[in-house]
Amino acid sequence: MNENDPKTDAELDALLASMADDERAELLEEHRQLEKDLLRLADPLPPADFVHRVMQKVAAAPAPAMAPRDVALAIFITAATFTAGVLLFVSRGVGFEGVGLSFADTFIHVRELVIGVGSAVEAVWRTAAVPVAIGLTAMLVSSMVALKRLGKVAA
Amino acid sequence: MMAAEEGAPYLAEVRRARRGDSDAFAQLVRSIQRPVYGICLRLLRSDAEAAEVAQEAFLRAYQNLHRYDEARPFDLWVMAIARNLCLDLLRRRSRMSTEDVSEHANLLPSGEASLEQTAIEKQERKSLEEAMSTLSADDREVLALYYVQRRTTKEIAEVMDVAPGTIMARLFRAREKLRKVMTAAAGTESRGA
Repeated sequence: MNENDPKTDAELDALLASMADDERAELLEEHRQLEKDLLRLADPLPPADFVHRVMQKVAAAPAPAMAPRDVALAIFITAATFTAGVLLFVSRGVGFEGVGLSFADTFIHVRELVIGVGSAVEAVWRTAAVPVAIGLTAMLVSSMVALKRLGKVAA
Repeated sequence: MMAAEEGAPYLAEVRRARRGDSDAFAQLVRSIQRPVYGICLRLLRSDAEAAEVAQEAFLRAYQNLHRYDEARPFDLWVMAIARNLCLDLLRRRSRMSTEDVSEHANLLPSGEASLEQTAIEKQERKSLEEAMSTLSADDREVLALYYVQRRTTKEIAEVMDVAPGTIMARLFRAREKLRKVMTAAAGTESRGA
């Protein structure tokens, strides 16, 4: 708010209250008459070819698939992830020259982990398929509801 | 016309337009072109510039449909875009348009049946438009949004990006300036007669 901003309603009420009764009544009556005149005005119609021209511009400049800010964010996240990964390897004393070998070693370990988790899931599924299915469905539904609510709050 | 979905007008068309349906976007443009063009004309006071800026506002709305917040009324969102473009143009202008505003006064139709309007009523409306054109862009805008477009104070606050509590005071101040202009004009006319 700058100094040119108008007064709030409360200050306006105070201003009107400070006026003499007949003066205030006369002013308000003039404003009422002015309002009647203003309410008789209407927006002009745009040129007849307005919609056509808009659609021509739209056709000439299709909507971008991603906003520039989103592209910049994606680039930033990718770069940050890559940098963090390299720094993680280096901080373990591997050195820059060993980053490739270390990455391959980690990949092998991750592969073993994935295979292990897969075997565990398979074993659980064989022993209690129905409870697992119900549990996963409930988790999925509750997550979707929660995300939708979060979306509404954020909006 | 307006598609009401979940209580929000235009939402169905917006969603179709987001999926690439240009007919849906054309429908949106047809539905709200008048208030968008109207506010541009009130601010810029030039037919050509108002049409150009209003078209640009719709184009930007189309290009940013993925950013549109469905919780907001679509027409107010586009009007806010148009308003910002108008204000940018006003800031860039080194001088105000020299176009005779009385031309617009003749173009601005009344909400009533034009055949029944008397010459006096037309003259009064013309005088009112001319008096309005002497006000600041902010004053013209708040009067047009409230009285011409019949927007609520909350909607006006959203378009103008100000606190809703200040709208009635802005209206009063704008009306008071308008009243003074019209009183002065009436005084000049009566002295000339």
